[in-house]
Amino acid sequence: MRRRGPVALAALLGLVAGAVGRPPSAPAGAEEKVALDFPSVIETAKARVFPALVFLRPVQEDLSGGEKRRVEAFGSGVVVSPDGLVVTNHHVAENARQIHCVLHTRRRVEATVVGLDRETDLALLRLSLAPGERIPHAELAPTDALEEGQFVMALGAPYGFERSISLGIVSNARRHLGELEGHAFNNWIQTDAAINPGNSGGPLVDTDGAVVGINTLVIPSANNLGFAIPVEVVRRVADRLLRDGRVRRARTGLTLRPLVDYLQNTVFPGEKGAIVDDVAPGSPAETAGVRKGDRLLSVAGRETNARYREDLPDIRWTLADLPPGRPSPLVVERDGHRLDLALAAEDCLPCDGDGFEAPRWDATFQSVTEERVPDLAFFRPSGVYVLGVRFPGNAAEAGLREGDIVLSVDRKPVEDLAGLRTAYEASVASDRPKKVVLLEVLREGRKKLVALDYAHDRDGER
Amino acid sequence: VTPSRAPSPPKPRRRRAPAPFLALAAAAWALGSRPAEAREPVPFDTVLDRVERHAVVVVVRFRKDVEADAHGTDRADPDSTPEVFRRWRMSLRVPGFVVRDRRTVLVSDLFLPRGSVASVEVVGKGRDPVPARLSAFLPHCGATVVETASDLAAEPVPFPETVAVTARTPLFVGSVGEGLRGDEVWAESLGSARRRAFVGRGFSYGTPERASAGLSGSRMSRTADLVVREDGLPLGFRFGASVDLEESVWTGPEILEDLRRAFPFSGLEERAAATRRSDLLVPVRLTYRVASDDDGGSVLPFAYAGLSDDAEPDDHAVHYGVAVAPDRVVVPASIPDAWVRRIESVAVEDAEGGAHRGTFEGRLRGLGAFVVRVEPALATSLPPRDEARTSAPPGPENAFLVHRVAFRAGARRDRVDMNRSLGEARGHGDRRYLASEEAVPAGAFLLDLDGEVLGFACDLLPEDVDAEVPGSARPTGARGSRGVVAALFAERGGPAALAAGLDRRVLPAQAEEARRLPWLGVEHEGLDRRVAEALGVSGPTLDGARGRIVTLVYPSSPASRAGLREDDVLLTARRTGGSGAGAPPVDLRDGDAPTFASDGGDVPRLWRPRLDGIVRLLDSWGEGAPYEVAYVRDGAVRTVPLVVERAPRDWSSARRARDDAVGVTVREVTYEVRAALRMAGDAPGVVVSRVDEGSPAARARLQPNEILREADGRVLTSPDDFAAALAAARAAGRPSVRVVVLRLNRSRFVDLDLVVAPGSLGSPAKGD
Repeated sequence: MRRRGPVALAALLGLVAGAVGRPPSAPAGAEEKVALDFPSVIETAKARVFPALVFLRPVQEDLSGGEKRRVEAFGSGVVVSPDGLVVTNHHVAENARQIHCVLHTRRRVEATVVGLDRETDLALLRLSLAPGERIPHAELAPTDALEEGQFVMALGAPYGFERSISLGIVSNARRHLGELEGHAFNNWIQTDAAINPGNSGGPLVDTDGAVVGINTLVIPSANNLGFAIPVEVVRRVADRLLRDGRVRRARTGLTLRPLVDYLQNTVFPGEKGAIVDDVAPGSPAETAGVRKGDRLLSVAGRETNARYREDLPDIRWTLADLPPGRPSPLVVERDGHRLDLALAAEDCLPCDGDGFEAPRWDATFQSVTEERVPDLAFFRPSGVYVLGVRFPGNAAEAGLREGDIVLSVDRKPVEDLAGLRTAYEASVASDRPKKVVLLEVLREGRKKLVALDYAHDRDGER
Repeated sequence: VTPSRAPSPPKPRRRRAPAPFLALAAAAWALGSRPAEAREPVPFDTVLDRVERHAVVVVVRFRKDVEADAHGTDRADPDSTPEVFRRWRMSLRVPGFVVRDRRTVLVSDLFLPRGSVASVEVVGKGRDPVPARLSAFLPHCGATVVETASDLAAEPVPFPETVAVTARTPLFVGSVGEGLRGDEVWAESLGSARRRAFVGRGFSYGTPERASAGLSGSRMSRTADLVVREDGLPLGFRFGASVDLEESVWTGPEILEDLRRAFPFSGLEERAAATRRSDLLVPVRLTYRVASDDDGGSVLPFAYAGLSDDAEPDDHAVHYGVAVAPDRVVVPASIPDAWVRRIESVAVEDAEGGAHRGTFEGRLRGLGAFVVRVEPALATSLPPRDEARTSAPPGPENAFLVHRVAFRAGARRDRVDMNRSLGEARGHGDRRYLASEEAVPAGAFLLDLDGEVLGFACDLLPEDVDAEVPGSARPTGARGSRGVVAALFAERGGPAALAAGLDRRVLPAQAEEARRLPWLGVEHEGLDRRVAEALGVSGPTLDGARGRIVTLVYPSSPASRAGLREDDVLLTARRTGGSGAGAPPVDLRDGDAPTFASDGGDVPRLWRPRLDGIVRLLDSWGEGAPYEVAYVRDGAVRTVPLVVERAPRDWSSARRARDDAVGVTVREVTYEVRAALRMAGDAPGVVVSRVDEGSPAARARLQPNEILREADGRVLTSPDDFAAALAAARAAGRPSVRVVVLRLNRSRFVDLDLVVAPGSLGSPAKGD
């Protein structure tokens, strides 16, 4: 879901650009019952947002195939300030070495990354404009008070068909998509406006021509199940990205559950608070004395009421906004008693990090973190795992697999990517007669030895 | 000799003259009378007239036998007569004769499933069809009684009181059959019929593929023939294509006598109900331990009665047995060895619904049946058999009843059908077995017409394949069986004698202790050439062709006490004491086990089955055997002496608790599971081994391999704790139990509903 496949449609682009025509006009007021005048609505949206639409063609660096590859992706973005700030998706801008942009005027501009936020899948870019230059921008809607059934339009470049517009309604204004995969900090606007790969990062626009969301997800096998990040989250994240270059989030170690959770079959009486599902061992929450099953009533003076799952993202923001290192008041209810606790949250460092390519081994590696690969982190909380294995390649031939955690190289323990890099470079530089390294890996929790023969240099075959 | 046929035009029916006379001459000759003795040609028309006067055609139309499917006993066989006829929109037309009054017709037994008969009508000479029904069957004569709704035009056969027949009496048989131009009356000499009838008669003992083909007469088109003396006097009937004049021709008085004792088909339902009310046939529920690869062959044999082939091994099976004594039940079901060993519990239920505990006592020698001891004793059972009452197996043509019981859609279904004996036939081991007209499926019970149990039908397990080679799975169960045999109590000397023939070689490994495997106490991986080279052990491991590298040593295992360590490369093992002491060392060279251990189900596990090559080797040496292991450490080959020890309980022998209502099975966290899940030695919890689809556990998103750490605030250290927590919550009337679940490094809690809508989960989900 995170990564859209690059679609090579460059040859078609010029053709398509000409194909975008004006909508057929219909007689205004032909039906009294229809409150909306479609042609004028679409005109409004077009007039207000089209000029701010950006077609993004980032060149991403991809290590997942076991080698470093440059991939050109397609995406969309929307200019949100006259000086050229562009909001798009994290998955469009991540690992980008270059971001080519095409503005509404079909002028080509480069962009640089201002900040990335994996948790909300948002990114802020800045167009490289001439000093003092102003360009048209779109307005973000003041609130995300959307209602189901309201008309919305998705603008973007589906499959690279730039400056496309599709019409639909809000199917659900507060869709909760679960906690994993960086979906914890927002609900989603579900829409049936057609969203396709390439729409990512483009604006979802209401009938006033204001941006109400950033189109992000689509369920490929479904019919018109698209999801957009609500504008309030966009505004909040964009502000922080502009200020800090990243979104600082405090870590508390709390996992919460709504009072009414039909998915896990638990219902707690009352309206107030949220239930503590889990307290990570050794986390600030544990130190503060929070226990599993407590009812969290307030944090730093703010009530934390989550009757349903949709209420959780707000509480997570509250927790993430706690000042790191300083105790914040926390109120929980346990066995009917109210407890006042103090929680000193930790700063959660961003886990984004470059992977490492070992070209002679024909494999790529990444560091293990709880956020990135929780299942591997279970077996080894920190370390290095195999991100990809090139096929055909030396690592693949030796039996190395994606997801193997590297414990040691030639019997020397590997603790992090730097350690692996050192071991790799040493292996390549050494003049040993046999170009073989012995890797000790953890696969599905079990130790395994892999003798990697890297004598065969496949670089020449590329 | 061509049988003489007298074709007649459809309407009006008329015989052609010349042919019969010619044929008659031939027939008389064929009868075996001395050809030299010239005789006057007999007026054949007399015979044909007689036949025509009484013969009718009974037309049966078919429908889909939904009842059979519901009973689970006869899944509508697409090749069965009713199904074929139904599919082709054909009616079955069989000859019949009017007897006694104008509303009673006798036809030969048809063996049609009652549910498949849509309508029956009788077509007489040139008259409209008369609606009829199959009303009863004769106890001896091999005929079924058809009753018509109104009088037929055909006359009842007027049998003489007595008549003398000698071997020389020229006899004829005639009937009505379907010819090219419709129904035709025909007749021929009995002698020629006798010769021809030999063809196609015989017995087969069934094939492994189709055990139900069993010990039964080959199916022949059955006809009813009127036996007529040369002067036209009707003497009796011949039903079917029987051979023996003595046994197969039924004289008029015999038939009329039999007709008085006819058994109505409606009586079959009553019989089924009566048996069901009694304790005679009792359900025996076998619960199996969850299989694992360790047990060898976790795939259920295809034809294993009671379970479908795709059933989960975690399951149970319900069979039905006959209480031969208050505390003994004989169950005609063949269970492969592996499954016998896996039996965890046996429960017997009486007609009142009372539960009795059962103990698997053993199988019956050579038969696919087993004996269960029942405690407390059942209220009723077969009456103790005095020898005088011991009835012989049903003689030829004698009717008997076949009672089948199936457990289907959560309920017991009883079904009684009639069948007819062909007498005894020589079979396996030169013994004589009952042969029946219709195949009797294994697991069915044979009753006489009074409802007394005569015996049962079961698979025959040839004893020569019983000889078990240690460590090798012998062909067992349905695959090793040879068709169906009816084991009759009388023939086998009664229930007591049956019990004496117990084969107790394979018994359930009920005590978990008994199932515990030996262990060395290491996890190990294979080598290949390159790894061996990189480790510098190419020499001793023969370029990686043998040897296992130790990746984990379990604490307080034999390996740990002997000082084996991680990264030691195990090379060989050699027995140093006992009977096999002189044997050469055995290379340790197990192929890699599957990445995910599976216990026969589709749930992958992070831990491997224990029965790997090393354990298998130790198992073959037996507990207490001294041996030594050669291994490489730091480039040097060393040996270490060891003794075969028994392992602690593992996944397959783990204690477990199952809750049907919640739909979950949990097991204790055994040592290898603990290591795989990185649990500390004293960390509490039980492992979820199975979650039933659609159950409260599944609704709470519980998944296999998760750890349940607490239930209602109570720390779980064993499956019994879990069962106790559920029981306590039920006793307190709480609707659900809150459990704390651990999945890898995340924990959460879920509520397991205890209240189940009635009927929704009360019946076993699978396997029946």
